[in-house]
Amino acid sequence: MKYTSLIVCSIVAALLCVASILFLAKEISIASQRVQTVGSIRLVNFSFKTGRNYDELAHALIDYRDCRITPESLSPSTSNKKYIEKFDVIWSSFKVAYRNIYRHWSGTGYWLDESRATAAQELRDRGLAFVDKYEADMNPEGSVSCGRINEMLTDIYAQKDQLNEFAQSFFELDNRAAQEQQSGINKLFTTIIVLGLSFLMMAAIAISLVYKALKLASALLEKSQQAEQQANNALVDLRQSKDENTAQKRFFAAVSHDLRQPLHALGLYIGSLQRHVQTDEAAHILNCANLSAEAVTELIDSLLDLSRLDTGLTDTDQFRFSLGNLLRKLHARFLPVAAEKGLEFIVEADDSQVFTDEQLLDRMLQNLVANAIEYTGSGSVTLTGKRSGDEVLVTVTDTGLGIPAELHEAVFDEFYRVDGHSHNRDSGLGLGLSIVKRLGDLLKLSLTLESREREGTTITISLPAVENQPLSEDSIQTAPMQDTLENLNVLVIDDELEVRESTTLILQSRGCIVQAVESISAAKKLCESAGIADASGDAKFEPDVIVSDYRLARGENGLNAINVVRTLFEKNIPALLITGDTTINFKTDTEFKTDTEFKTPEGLAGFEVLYKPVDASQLLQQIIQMAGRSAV
Amino acid sequence: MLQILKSSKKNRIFFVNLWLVFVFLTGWCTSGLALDAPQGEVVLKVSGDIELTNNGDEAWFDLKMLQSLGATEFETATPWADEPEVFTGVRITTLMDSLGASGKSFHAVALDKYKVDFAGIDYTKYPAIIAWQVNGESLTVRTLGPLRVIFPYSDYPEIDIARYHNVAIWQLLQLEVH
Repeated sequence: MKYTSLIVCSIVAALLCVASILFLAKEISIASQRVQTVGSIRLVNFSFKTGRNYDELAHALIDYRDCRITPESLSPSTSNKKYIEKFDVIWSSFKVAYRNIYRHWSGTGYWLDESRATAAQELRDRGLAFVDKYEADMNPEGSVSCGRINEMLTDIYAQKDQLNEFAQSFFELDNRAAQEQQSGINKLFTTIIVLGLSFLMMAAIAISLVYKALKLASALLEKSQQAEQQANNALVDLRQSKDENTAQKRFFAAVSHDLRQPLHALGLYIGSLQRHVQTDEAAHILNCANLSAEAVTELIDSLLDLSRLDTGLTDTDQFRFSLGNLLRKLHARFLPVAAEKGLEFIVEADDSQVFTDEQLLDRMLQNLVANAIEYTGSGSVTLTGKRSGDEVLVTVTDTGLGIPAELHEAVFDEFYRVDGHSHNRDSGLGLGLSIVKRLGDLLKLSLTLESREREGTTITISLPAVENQPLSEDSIQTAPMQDTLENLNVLVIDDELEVRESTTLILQSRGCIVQAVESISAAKKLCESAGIADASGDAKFEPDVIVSDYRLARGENGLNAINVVRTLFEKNIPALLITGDTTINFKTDTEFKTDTEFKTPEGLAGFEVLYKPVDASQLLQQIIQMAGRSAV
Repeated sequence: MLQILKSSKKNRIFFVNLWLVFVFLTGWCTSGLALDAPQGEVVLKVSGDIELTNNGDEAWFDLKMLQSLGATEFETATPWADEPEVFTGVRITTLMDSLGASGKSFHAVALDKYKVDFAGIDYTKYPAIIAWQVNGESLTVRTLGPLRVIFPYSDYPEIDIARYHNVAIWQLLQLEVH
């Protein structure tokens, strides 16, 4: 609608322009005609009139002369009077009228330029000379001789010729001027026409341009709307897929949690049972049970690692450390395993330092070495760490079965195992390499795999090289540990009876004084009564360490519990949170920060986290660490 | 008489004829008798659509006859003189009225056959005269006379234009009424 009115306006403007141009052209044409005619007409008229008057004078004179020759034809006096009158007309033309005409022309600013004025003056002078010459002969009473008349006639004809000549020259002059004017006007006219046409063209172009621009703009708008719609759709799709993905991961995490719960208890029970076993056979069976439980725990750990990696809960804590130390630790750890299979386990390392997350790299290498040992029947497994140019290359080489070239990519997928080895007793779920792959991605390390069937496999991790620097003492973990837990007061909060009991058993076996409760209110009650007991002189119970499950019954959580206890004793008691929910990262998620904001005079209190299943040694080690730290 | 009138149809026709003859004679006498013949030199000849004549179809005037129609006098400046002049003459309307040609237009012809058309010229609203005297002096051929048409330009600035200057004919000799 807007551009319709715009176009209408343009058309009206163009029409107006055309109309004004036509009007102007008409006016100029009329003006040019006027200029052409008005000047010449006056002078030419004068010349013709005077010429005619000369003619009439001549006729009158001839009449008079003839009358004198034949007096009977007309009375001489009448003839005399007649030519005098004609002479008087000429006289008045030059003596009176011409002066007036000249004045009139110049007065009204007509066309008398210098050359014309001179010519007109000359014309007048000749006329005046004529009338002055014959004035004396124009006596009504007198007579004019025949010879004088003939002389006068000669002069009259000469005058007439001159008049014609002048008239012609004026006419030519005037014509030339008119022509010049005309050509000027023609030029003007052409200019106006060209201007008008160009204006019309411009208007037409402008209109079409505006029209096109508007069309383009609307098309663009439409396209942008379409694009926006598409983007929205894509976004919705993406969100949905993301939701699906998240749901899947949550499900995975929940399953892992539920699996861990009984395993957690199982580990603790077996741990506490070991002290009560009397016979060797029973000890062997218990050992086997323990091994199986450990295997299952290991599998679940792998699954949880995967789940944590996928949910993005794994934090990287990068710092500079000695690669050699890490490799030597691995050597110590896996040498017995390799020896059991009759394999050689060789570690070669230079003094390179690397900058990455030590624990995660350790995990990667554990998986790789474990894998290598598992798939190698005979020969050796070699672990090397050496600097090569700008990189530090860590390789794990085995002399095992090897992987066919077409499967090099596939082995990094979850649950993939090379065919023909599913019967292997110790084979896992095939999660090792996929965890390695994910950790590699997380740490931005590149992984390469070289393998030939029946010859062996080499997996290389390349790390960016860093300059060697002396390492601080902190990075060398030599924290003093209080190996004994005698008389350590431990408060255990867990809503599940099995876990409470097993945990209590484990801790008591190491000499801890354990109080186990199922809820926050119970904990509160216990602590308060402990306070009262203290007043009455009984042995008081003030926890040195709090061990709490995260998820408690009736929507309560471990953090609140820890907080409540800490508040009661107004003390920053070391706390350990145990949880099976791997989707929660207690260290980074801000929503948990507010829960733990218990301020002590020393500052903000922290807590440690263990993910289920936690075996006895893990638990004890953690508690030893915490107690040791609190003792410092 | 009444009997005769009533009885005879021929008598009635006779009376009608007599009446017609009377009307015709009256009309002829009026046209012929109203304008005297000029005694002196003829200065103006009026021809064409006029009711009164004295020379064939034309009405000829000498100066005395024109003056007897009544003289008007006014002072005006003209493009042809440096100073304003007093013109004396008869109004064109008066002349036309006297000839039974009120409000009609005409051509004016000068001694030297110069001819102008008065069509569209309002000589009644702007009282133009045919002058025979300028500043108390009679006009001659040499002073653009003996008769000259003049408009009161000074009294009516709107006619002080070329169109009205062009019809101020001098050395006037003839009017052709149409």
